[in-house]
Amino acid sequence: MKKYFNAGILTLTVILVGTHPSAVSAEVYSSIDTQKLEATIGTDKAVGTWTLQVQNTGGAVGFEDFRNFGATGLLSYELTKAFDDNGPLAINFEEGFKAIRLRSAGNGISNVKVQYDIKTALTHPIAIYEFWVAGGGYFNFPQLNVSYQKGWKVLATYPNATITDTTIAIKYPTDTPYIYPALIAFVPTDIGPGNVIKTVGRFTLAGSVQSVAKLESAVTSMTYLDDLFTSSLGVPAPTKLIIYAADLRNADVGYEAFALAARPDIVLYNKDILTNQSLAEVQTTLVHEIAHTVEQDKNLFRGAPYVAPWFREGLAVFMEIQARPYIFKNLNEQAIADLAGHTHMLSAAELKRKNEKSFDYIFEGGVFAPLNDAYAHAGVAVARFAQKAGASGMQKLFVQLADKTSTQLSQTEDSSKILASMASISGLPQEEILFPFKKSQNFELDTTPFVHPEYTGTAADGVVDYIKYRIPNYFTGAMPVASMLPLPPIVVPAPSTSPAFTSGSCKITKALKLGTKDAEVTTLQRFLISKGYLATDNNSGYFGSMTQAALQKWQKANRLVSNGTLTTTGFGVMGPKSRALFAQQCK
Amino acid sequence: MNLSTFLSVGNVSARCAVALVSLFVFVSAVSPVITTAYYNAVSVDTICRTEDQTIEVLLPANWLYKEQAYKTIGGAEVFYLKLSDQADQGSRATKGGYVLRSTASGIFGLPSTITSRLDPREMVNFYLHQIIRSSMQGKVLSVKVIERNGEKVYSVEWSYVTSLNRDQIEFIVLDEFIFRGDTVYQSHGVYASFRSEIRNTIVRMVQSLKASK
Repeated sequence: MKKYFNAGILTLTVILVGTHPSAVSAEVYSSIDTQKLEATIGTDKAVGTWTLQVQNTGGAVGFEDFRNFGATGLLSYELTKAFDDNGPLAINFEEGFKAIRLRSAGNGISNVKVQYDIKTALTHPIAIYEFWVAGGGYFNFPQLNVSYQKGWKVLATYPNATITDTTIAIKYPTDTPYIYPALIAFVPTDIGPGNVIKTVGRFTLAGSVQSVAKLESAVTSMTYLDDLFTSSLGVPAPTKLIIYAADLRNADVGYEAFALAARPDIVLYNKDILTNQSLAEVQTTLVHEIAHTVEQDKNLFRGAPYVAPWFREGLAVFMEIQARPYIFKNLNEQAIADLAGHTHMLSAAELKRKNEKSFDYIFEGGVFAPLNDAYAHAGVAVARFAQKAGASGMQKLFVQLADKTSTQLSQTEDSSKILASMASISGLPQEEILFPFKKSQNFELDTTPFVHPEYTGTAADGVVDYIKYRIPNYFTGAMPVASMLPLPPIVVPAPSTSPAFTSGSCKITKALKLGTKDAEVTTLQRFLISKGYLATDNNSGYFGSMTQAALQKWQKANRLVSNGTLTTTGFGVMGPKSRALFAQQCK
Repeated sequence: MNLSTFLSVGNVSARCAVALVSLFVFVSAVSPVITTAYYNAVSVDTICRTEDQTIEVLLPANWLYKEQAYKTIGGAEVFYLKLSDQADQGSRATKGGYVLRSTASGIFGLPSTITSRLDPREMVNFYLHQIIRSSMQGKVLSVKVIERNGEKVYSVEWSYVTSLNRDQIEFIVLDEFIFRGDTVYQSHGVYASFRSEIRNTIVRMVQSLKASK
C-alpha cells in the first residue's frame, strides 16, 4: 500500500459539503425565521445583502468576515455594512476580522441587514458563487434573489431556481430542515485565455485546453457508469455532471484535495493532480467523486459529513473497487496504480492488520496513520455490506440514512445507529461489517473481491520497471532538475487499433539503451511493435526492460548480436549497426 | 539513570539528553515525567535520543518532540519521532520535522518484493516522484548523494504549496535518507518559505540524525 507522501499532510480525494463556518451565533437560530438575500454578481465579485428578522431574543447574534466557505472552500466574505431599522450598526475589528455583535434583549434591534463583498477563486472558465444561509445549515425558508451580468450563462444552480436573462430566484425547499448553501455556476462572457468548455455525453468539461483534453480521454472510456452505479447502488449515475479542472490551491477543505464534489453534480478536479495522473487514475477519482454526488442527491445525513465520514468515503471507495474491472485493462496497469499510484486499495495482508486495530470512524488519521488506509478500510467495510445486501439493500440503507439528524443516526463517534441499520439490512453482525472476515479460516480467499493481489511475476516486474525507467530520474543530472517539471503524465495508451508505422517515422540518430527517454525511443518502439517484437501500447518513449527485450529479439532474429551485455557486445542497445539495419527495414 | 530526563510517550520510551552547554537549563525546564505533548520546551538546542540509544537528533531550542511510537504504515512497522516548535502548533504550523526508522518497505510504502529490487537511489527517486505527482505546485529543488560519517546520505529538497491554511503557503522540505542493511532512516524537516530565517535550524536538525550501527 503506497502512502502519498510524508510531507506532514496527506493528499486525498475528499468530499466537502456544507461545512461552512456559520457567521451567526447558535443562540438565535430560532429567531431568524425568514431571511432574504439580494445579491448582484459582477465581473470580479458579488455584493450580497442579507435581511434577517432578528428580534430581541435575549441571546446574541454576530456577523463577521469569513473565508474559505461552503462546498468548495473557495470563497471569501468581507463584511462591509450592517444596519437595522434604526440605522447603521457599528463594525468592529476582532482579531483582525471585521465583526458586529448584537447582544441582549431590549436593545431595539430588528430586521438586521448585513452586506458582504463575496469573492470566489473560481472565475474562469466557470464562475461559481455560493451563498450561505444565516443560521448555519439549519434554515427557515430563505429567499435568494441574485442579479448577474447580461451575457453570462447560468450553467447550474442549487437548489433549483427560476432564471431569467439577468436574475436568479431561489426559494429554498421546505420539506427538509437542512440544506446545502446555494450554489450558482455561470459561464461568463469571457472564459479566459487558454480555457475551454466542452460537452461530452453527460459531462460538461471545463478548464484549460490540456486539462479538458485529459478529462475527455478519461470520460470517453466511462461508458460503464450507469451499469456500475445501477448494479452497485441501485441508482443510475447522474445524467449531467460538470467536471471542472480548477486551481484548488485556495480551497480550504481540511485536506489537500485531489477533487471535490459539490451540489449540483459538480466535481472540482485539482488541475495540478490531474496533470500528473494516468487516465486510469483519473477514472478512479471521477468514480469516487460521482459517488459523492449520488450521496448528496440522496441527502444522506442531511449532508452533514461529520456524522460519519467513514461511511461517506467508504461508499465512494466501494465504488472505486466496483469500477476496477472496467478501468484497468490489464494487471500491470492495475499493479502500478495500486502500488505506486492513486487508488484506495489494501492488500489482504494489510486488511488483516487493519482488522486487528480499532476502526477509524472519524478519520483522525495523521501524518503517521495515513488517512489513505482509513479510506481503504472504510471502503472494504461498505463493500462487505454491499456484498451481502446487494443494490436493493443499499437503496434501503439510503432511505434510512436520508434526512436524518446526527443524533438520529449517531449519538457517539461509533456510528452505532448507522451500523445497526446496515446490520439489520444485510443480516451481518456489525463486527463483520467493520472487520470483514476477521475470523475467517479462508481470509485471503474470502477477501479477494475487496483487496488488491500480492503482485508477483510480470505484474511486479512492471512496477519495478515503472520505477526504474518510467519516472523522471532526479539524480541523473542530464538536465537541470527544475526543468523536468511539470512532470510528464504517466502514459496509459488508449486501446490500440493496429498501430500504423509510416516511413516518416524512420529516423533514429543516436544510441538508445535502457533508461533512455526520447522521441526516438517511440520511433523504435513503434517499429518493434509493427514487427511483432513488442506488445502494442508500449510506445511510451521510455526505453524500459520490455523494449530492451524486444530489441534483443529483433537483434537475434537479424543475426546482429545474440548475447553479451550492453557494454560488451551492444546486445539490447540501439547502436550503429542496429540503426543501419533499422534504416533499411524501416523503409 | 543519567541526567537526561526519562520520557514515556505512547508505547515507546525515549530520553532527551541535553547538550552539555545547556545542562542546567534542560534539567530545570523539563518535567521529569511527561506523558503528553504539552510540556515546556527548552530554550536552547538539545540532543534528543531514543531510550534504546539508537537514534539521536537535534531538537532545536523551544521545540518539542511531541510524539513517538511505532506505527504500521502500509503493513510495515515504522518508528517515528515527531518534532515541532512549541509556539507553532496546529493546522497553521509553519515548521516541523520527524525521524522515521523502518524497512525500505515502511519508508517508501512499497512491498518488500519491490523494494528488494530497487537500489537506494531508485527508491528516493520514487519518493520524490510520489510527492510531485500528489502535491500542488510540487517542485524538486535539489538532489544529492553525500558522504557523512563514512556512509552515503541521500539528501533531497523539494517544495509544494498547501491550501490547508487560509492563505496559500509554500513549504520547503528537506529529507535525508540513510540506508543501512535492511533498515532505512529518514530525517525530515519542513518550513514555510516566508519563514526563511528558520532554514538554518531546519538544515541543522535534518543533518543531525545519528543512528547507532
